Amino acid sequence: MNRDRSTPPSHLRRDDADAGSPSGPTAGAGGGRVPLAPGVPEISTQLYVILTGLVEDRVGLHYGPADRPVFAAKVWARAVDAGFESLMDYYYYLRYDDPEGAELDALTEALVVNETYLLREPAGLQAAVDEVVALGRPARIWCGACSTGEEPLTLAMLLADRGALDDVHIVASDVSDWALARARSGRLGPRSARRALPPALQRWVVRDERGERVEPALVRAIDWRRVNLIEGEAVRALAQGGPFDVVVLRNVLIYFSDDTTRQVLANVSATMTPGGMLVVGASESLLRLGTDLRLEQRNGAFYYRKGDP
Amino acid sequence: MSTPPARDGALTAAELDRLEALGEAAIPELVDALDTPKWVLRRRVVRLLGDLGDHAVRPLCDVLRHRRDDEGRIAAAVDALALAVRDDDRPVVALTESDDPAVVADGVMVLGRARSAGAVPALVGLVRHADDNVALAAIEALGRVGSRAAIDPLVETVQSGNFFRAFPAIDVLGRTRDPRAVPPLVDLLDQAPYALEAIRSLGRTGDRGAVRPLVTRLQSASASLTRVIAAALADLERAYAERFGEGEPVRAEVRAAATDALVLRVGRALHGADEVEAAAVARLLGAFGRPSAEPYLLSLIDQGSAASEAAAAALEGVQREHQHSLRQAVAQGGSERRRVLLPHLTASRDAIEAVSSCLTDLEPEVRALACDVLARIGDPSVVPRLFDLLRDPSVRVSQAATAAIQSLGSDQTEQLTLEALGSSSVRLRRAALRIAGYFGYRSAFPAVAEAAALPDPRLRDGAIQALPFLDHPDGRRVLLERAEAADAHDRASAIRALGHVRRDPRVVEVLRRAVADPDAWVRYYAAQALARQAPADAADSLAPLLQDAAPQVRLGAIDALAMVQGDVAFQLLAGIARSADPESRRAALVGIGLSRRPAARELLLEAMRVDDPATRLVAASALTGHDEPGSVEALVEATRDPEPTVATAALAVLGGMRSLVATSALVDLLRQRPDDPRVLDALARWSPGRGQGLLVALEKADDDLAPLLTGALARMRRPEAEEVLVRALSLDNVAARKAAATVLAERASPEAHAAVMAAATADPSEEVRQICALALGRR
Repeated sequence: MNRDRSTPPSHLRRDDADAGSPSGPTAGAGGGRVPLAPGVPEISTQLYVILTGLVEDRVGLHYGPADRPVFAAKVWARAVDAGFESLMDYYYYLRYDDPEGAELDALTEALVVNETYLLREPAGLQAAVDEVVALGRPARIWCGACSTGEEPLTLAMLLADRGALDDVHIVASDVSDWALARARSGRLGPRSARRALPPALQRWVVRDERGERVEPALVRAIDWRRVNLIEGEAVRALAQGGPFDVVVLRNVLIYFSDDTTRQVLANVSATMTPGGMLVVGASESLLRLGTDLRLEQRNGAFYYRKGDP
Repeated sequence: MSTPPARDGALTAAELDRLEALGEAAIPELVDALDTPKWVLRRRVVRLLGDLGDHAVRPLCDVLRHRRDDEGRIAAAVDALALAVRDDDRPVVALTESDDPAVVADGVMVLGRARSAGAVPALVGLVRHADDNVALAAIEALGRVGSRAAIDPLVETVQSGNFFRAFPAIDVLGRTRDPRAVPPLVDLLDQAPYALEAIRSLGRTGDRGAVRPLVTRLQSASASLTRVIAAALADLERAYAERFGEGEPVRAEVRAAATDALVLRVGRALHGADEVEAAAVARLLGAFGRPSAEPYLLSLIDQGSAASEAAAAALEGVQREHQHSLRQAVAQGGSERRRVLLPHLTASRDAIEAVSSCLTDLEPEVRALACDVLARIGDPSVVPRLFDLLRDPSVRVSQAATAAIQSLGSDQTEQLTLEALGSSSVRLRRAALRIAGYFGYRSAFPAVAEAAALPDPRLRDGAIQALPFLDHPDGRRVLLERAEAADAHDRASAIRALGHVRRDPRVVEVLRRAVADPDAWVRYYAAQALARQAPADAADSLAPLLQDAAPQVRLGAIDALAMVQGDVAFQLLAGIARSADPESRRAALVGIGLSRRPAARELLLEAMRVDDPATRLVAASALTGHDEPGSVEALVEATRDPEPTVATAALAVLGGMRSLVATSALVDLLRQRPDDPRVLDALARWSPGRGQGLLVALEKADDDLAPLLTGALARMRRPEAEEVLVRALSLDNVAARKAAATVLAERASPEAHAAVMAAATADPSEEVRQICALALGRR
């Protein structure tokens, strides 16, 4: 038996249908042990520093002092679900016994779990579709950090509605294998369709005995990839099939430090055509970062455009 | 003497490097270079002269007196002087005696920017200077120095009708936070040119006496003026809480003046308010405490306004007496409203139905919050409903439901747990295992023991972790068997659980064998369990693990040694405390700190100087309880650490120390950083030593420091701290007596009242008597 890579302290199999709970009479509230009291659990400064340092080193997500309660709640939930009663034990596991990064992926997923649903912030997606339709030629769209896929699926629906889906290659990526598996299944969660779809798009959602799902043809029209945005090589490799005319990267840059955001944007920009469009979240501004992207607005949607060479 | 640098861009960075190396000898050349045209170079010249401190002061004063032919040079000389003045500001004070008003104004500006407390008497005199520019500079300088010694001339200036001088004087008066500033500012509320500035300034006083006049002014205010008054009242409450420990007396004053008509007027002012103004208006509506404010506050919440948290807190204030409508708002609201309002619901059984309606909300965060609130309400009748949420798709909700069940108990919980233990849902069974373990249900033993042998590893783990806590004689036997299981998961799980059973030689024997187990996590948990069982030779058993191939085992052994303590453990930890591996070093430092041994301190102090910020953080935190001068000195140094978490930790540790040395160090820090709330928080932690230390500091405190020290005592909100304040009224130092009287006048206790009454007539200082009389007049 390999003494360094032996059995984990508990049972770390990812199972979305399972949930744990904080418990155990020996546990003390606060820094390292499972909290007993209801409410958002706490985390000591020391543990916060080393855990957030590990997450930033490995995944690029940045957490400042103000993020501590949210980080604590999410990391506790994940650690307890994974069978740990101490965050120190969990940290050691992540650091020394997770060579494939499976648990780190699960934690990342819990940290960045970002609500996504069909037709979310539609103005930006509509602008992306208008852009590629106006090109009048085959085009490429990359939808980064797509989570469980509602965003690229919405893009595909909008393109199909305009009769342009066959001319557009959509690449959708996320860092989480679990999220991608869910996306590839086409299954919609109970809240995926919280925003009422216009009748023209409703035809793409079908109901069966297990709930709602998107038409398989639409799911197959998307090229799903696993990509960590801070890995420059992996990002640039996405453009091997040609540069992207539009990149949709919404509600993910907020998790990065400014330095990491600049690095991510440089890599993303390298995958785009000159004059290509970058759509970010409604609350995300890139102006302070001093990139080569310029802000534009059309029909109430704000987006950035890469300069011509 | 070397040749002066040439002009017109000929001065170079290299030339400045040379001058920097020369030190004081470079002063004449640097002074000559003050008019160098390149801004970047001129800025560096200013910095270099500033760094030379008092040595550069006289030559720079000479520039201001005799070389006034170039505005750029004059401005640079003022900048450099403001940086250079340290211990001796006499040459600058001498500038203020010049016949040339421009020279006087420059000198005053320097004294203000250098915050020269010793120059206050000179500045006070200059407030009445014939030249407006000098008077203005003096008023602004007093504002920067923050002195309360200038009240009389400032009041006189405000009342002078001199528009040019009155505005800055109004601003500075508010910053003094002196109760004597309030009446003249109130007089300005109806004087059109000054009203806005007076409102803002009254907000800055943090004085309760300013509340009524501001609220009264609301009755005839336009929407925009209403927003300004709301912001001023919010500032006032914040400043009051800083000085006296709580803001409630300010809110009570507002509440006493509230009417529904006022609510209507203030509520309408939300239209057109920006985010900060909306939050201030919401706070004011909350302070009114009238149900008529609810629709305005709910509308802010429903709009997802940035001020929604302030609105929710305000709604809590409004509905302290009217929880019914708040509960209704929760029950009928959307997810966003529920998310914001749930934490503000009073823990009352009347709220159960409203909160329970949130258990089916679409948002997991709302469902989890609802579980938390139900736990806080403490009514066990909701337990069956919480059991339904153990299967929730969200981990956070399921965990919140479990925690709530554990918190509430109930006579149905055991039966419901037993039923859940037989469920086919893995998730539900896992939660039930945790609940069974938490309550130690003996009746659950058969189901738990059965689960410990199930194929699903998560259920086996949950069952094994529950076994030590079940009140059943066979629990330990099952654990000892599982500790020898073929499956490494099970062994690790059982060894971890054995750490929680009562001390037992059989367990220790198993754990001793487990430290040599082929599985790393078995060894890891064996180390921790051995430390908990604490046999006499635990440290010897753990020592080999310090060389383990698996890093987590080495670290687990270090953590375990920290628990064991004793000479052997300490020696082992001391050996690792200088390890090149930061993880090992940090783990050892924690244990070393816990030992409280003198030898530990040196290792911790050494670790506070390393490059790795996480190690510095751990070392600073580990100095908790090492209340000796050397530690205090190192912690004070650490409060200037470039890594904010280290600085904050150092302040927190200092705050927990009780010695006079620690208190004195914190007082010094407060003097240097009067605006750093962390320093005040640290100082405001009561201990007998802290009280005595603050009294000693008050003996010599000036008008700026004394209110900060009495503010720290007020924030402790303890009778012992109030006793210190009463004793401060007997000190020789007038500044301390003024500050203590100001705080005591706000206290409701008979002792405080008696002390202020006595001081109002018997204190030798007219200023103190005035402050006391003013306060008594308000009661």
